[in-house]
Amino acid sequence: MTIKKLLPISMIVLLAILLLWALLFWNPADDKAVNHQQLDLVAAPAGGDFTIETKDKDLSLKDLRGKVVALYFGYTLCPDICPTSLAILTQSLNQMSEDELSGLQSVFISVDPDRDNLTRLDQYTKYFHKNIIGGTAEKEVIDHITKLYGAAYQKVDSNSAAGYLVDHSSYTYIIDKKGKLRHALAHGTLPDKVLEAVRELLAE
Amino acid sequence: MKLMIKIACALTLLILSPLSFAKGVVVDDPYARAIPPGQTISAAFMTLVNGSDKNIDLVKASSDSAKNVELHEHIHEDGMMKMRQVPKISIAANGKTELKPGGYHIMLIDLVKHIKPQDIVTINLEFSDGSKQEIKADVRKIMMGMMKKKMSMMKFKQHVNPMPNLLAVYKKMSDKLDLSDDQKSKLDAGIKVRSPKIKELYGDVKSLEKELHEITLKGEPLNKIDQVSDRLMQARLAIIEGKTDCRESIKKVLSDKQFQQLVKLYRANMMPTFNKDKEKAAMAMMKHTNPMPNLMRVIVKKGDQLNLTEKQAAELKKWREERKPISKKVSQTIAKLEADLLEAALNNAPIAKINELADGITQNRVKIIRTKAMCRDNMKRILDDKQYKKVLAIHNEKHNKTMH
Repeated sequence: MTIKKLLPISMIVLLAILLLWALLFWNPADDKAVNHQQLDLVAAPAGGDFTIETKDKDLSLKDLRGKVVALYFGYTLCPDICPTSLAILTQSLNQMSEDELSGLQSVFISVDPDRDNLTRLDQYTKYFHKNIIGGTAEKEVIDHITKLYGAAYQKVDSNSAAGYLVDHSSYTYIIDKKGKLRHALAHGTLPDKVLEAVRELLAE
Repeated sequence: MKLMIKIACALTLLILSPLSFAKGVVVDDPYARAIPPGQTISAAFMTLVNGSDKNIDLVKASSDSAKNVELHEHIHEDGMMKMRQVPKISIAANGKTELKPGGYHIMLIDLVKHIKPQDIVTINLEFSDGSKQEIKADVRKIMMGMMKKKMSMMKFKQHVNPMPNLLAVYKKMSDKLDLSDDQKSKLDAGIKVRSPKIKELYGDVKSLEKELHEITLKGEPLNKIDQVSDRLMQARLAIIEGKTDCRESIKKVLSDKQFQQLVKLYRANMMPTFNKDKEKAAMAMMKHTNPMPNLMRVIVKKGDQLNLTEKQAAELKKWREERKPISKKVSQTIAKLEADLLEAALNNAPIAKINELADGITQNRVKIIRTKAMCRDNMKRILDDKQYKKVLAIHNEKHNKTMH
């Protein structure tokens, strides 16, 4: 065999390998889908003002200037994650003095307005701590608020007797006295850390 | 003859194994979550221990307390918390599966009546081996116990590892890092390789500190204490080395920007906390830097039980007053160096700088152990035999009490 004959053969082999690779592994649509989903979730959480309905009256973040705000998105039929997060928040609230508590408003926003009514939400949040107000709004409003805070949620149909489930991110957002989002505390952040973040902003 | 023994052993095992291990699944510590008024769902948690040498699945659960009972799993994926019904929960042969908040759980849906703490929920479990079990889960307000366990684990990690745990940021907040699947799988692989080694080293530190404590009380000579102290320092250094190595591999996988984001998230969420109360913080720091028994404390607190002569009391006081500021200073130096080390690791300082700080920490830690060992010998010299034994007895009584 001469070099002249070898060259075309090796080219063919190389092309074949490339083609095979493209067929098996190159999937541009897939890449895009994954990135898109992640983008939604990490869309730079700028925070910002919002208004929700609560049992007594509408609650606007604007009205809470001068107070530190701890914000959580969840739903009451959430069997595990939300009660865990609220229990952690409660534990940090329990360590605060009355004075500190008067400088803080905790807010639980339901992302499941279809099933969570305002009375129910009030009952639910007060069970954990009197400092926590429960509220919700129409879906469009909720979508806007979650976007502002970089929170994500998605209804998922299931065969469960509990009805549809809601996938959701689980951060506790700490907003300063000027209404600026300062911390997004990850799920499972210990009460001491939550307390520290709140106290730091209370002192400002 | 050897063969005979082997056969005999094998036979014994063969006969014994079904008897001693045919326990199937044992359910440990079942409990259900207390719920707010008006809530109609709850979850039950427990540990399933499989004592058999076959995999067994939990395939069904039912209860008189709820109209529907389902097996669920919880997945933390791309920053989203996802709950999914699962057909079974597997328990590996001779293994265990924990049902716990944030993981597998038994969902109690449409509760027939409100459940509150101290109530009992009866749950029937059915397994793939055909066995059935009725368990009684007590209703608990979650968190308190769980959080305490987590907190003490965290404190322990903080105690044995002065370096930042950057991978924990990834584990908890991967959605904030915008990683590609390839990066994720590389980090996951890294965790898989490193995690057991680091855990082993954590265990080494724990057991060596315990040994140091024990041999000091037992009266072993200084050179023996030095040997154990040496091994302890090696384990501590290996942890720092491992964590440095870990940082370097993370840097290789992530872009500069992603790494900066990781550090930022660590700073926002995971910096170690110290007690605001200065006195308490100093006490905690002494405990953190000194693995040796604190016999001087017995003299200070319970000196009246020792019938000290004036001369003894004076000598002990003199020693204490001389030494206390010194050990306090060394302890503070360690605290400072460890804080510097953390900063260096986060600020991307070169490995040489980290090693330098780690050496400084080691030298000071050795100094504390040395000083405390000498303190013991000095006390032995000042006290008579009976008094010293009394000191040990009082110390042990108190130590055992706080340990349990």
